[in-house]
Amino acid sequence: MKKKFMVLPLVFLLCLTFGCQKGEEGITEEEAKAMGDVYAKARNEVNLALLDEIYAPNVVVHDCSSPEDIIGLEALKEYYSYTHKAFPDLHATIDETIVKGDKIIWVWTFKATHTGPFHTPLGDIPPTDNKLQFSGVAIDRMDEGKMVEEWVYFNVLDVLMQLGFTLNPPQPQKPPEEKK
Amino acid sequence: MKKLFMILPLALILCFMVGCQDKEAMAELEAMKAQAEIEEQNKEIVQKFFAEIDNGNVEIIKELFAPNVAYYFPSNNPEPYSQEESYEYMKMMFNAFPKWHHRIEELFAVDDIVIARVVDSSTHEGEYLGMPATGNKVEFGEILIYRLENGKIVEIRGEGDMLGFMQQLGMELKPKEGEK
Repeated sequence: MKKKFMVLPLVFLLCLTFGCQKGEEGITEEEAKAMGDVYAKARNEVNLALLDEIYAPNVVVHDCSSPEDIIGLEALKEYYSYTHKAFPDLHATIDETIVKGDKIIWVWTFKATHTGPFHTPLGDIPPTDNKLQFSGVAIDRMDEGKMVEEWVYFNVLDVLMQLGFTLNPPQPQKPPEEKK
Repeated sequence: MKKLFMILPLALILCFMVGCQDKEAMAELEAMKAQAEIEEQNKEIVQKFFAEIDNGNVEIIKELFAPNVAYYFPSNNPEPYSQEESYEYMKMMFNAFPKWHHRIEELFAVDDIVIARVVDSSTHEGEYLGMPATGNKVEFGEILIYRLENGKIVEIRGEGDMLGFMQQLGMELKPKEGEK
């Protein structure tokens, strides 16, 4: 009986200690920053295979620069490859990492020079040699240590304007014939 | 006797650990409770902001944005809007788009930060960037990162699908050389 009484509080204490340390379920800021480092490395070294470490194979990406959702990591790598062809010197930095439960929020900056043809949903843009800089925000949902869903917003309009596009109101229509 | 000698230090360690754990755990619990309360309040402030904008109440900017607020849109804008500039901008938008609906898809708070993923929708009912009212409906997504202090919004950094917004309005993007 004595032994039981000794073990019980010890077990309880152990649970308390471990329980308190684990904190909220989900990813820690350190883990998220490490994932961000992998992402930056994958983009900056154009080693997209590294993305396998942080994205699930069936990830769904809602990227505001793509009219359709990007379904699957292979499709994401293909989408990124267009950017790398257009911007061989692309450099990504992660400015801020915030975690909450199973979500990571990243604020990032991309710098690049447009020295290759850019295949975009708006058509192919021949190289302009323009230097680009733009920021963006992503929210990622984690599951079992990898990102399974992502929402990315950045000012695509601003990027296109840095590439020489102009925004124009539609041409005025011919005045309609007077109805009698 | 031996058993007593074994039990005594163990009991002492237990009391010590439980005693310390108690105080530490209590302090941690209190801090966590206080933080959770502030996070809830901050989320409510952001929700109130969107609800009031949807009610057409532009004055809410003067109520909820701190006088020294900095509104960065895009998030790396070197010239963030002040409270006055945010107010004037919103009034200008309301002239062209009097009715808004903000659908909050996701909202969470971490420390003094609130992150909102929102879909904005409206109808083009007044002149905007040289375009007379078209009646076109617009719907676009954005992610906004708010920082709050003492119940006021002191910083906003956001990214949104401005290209989608402009295209839905009927604006045309022309590449540098002008021809399609």
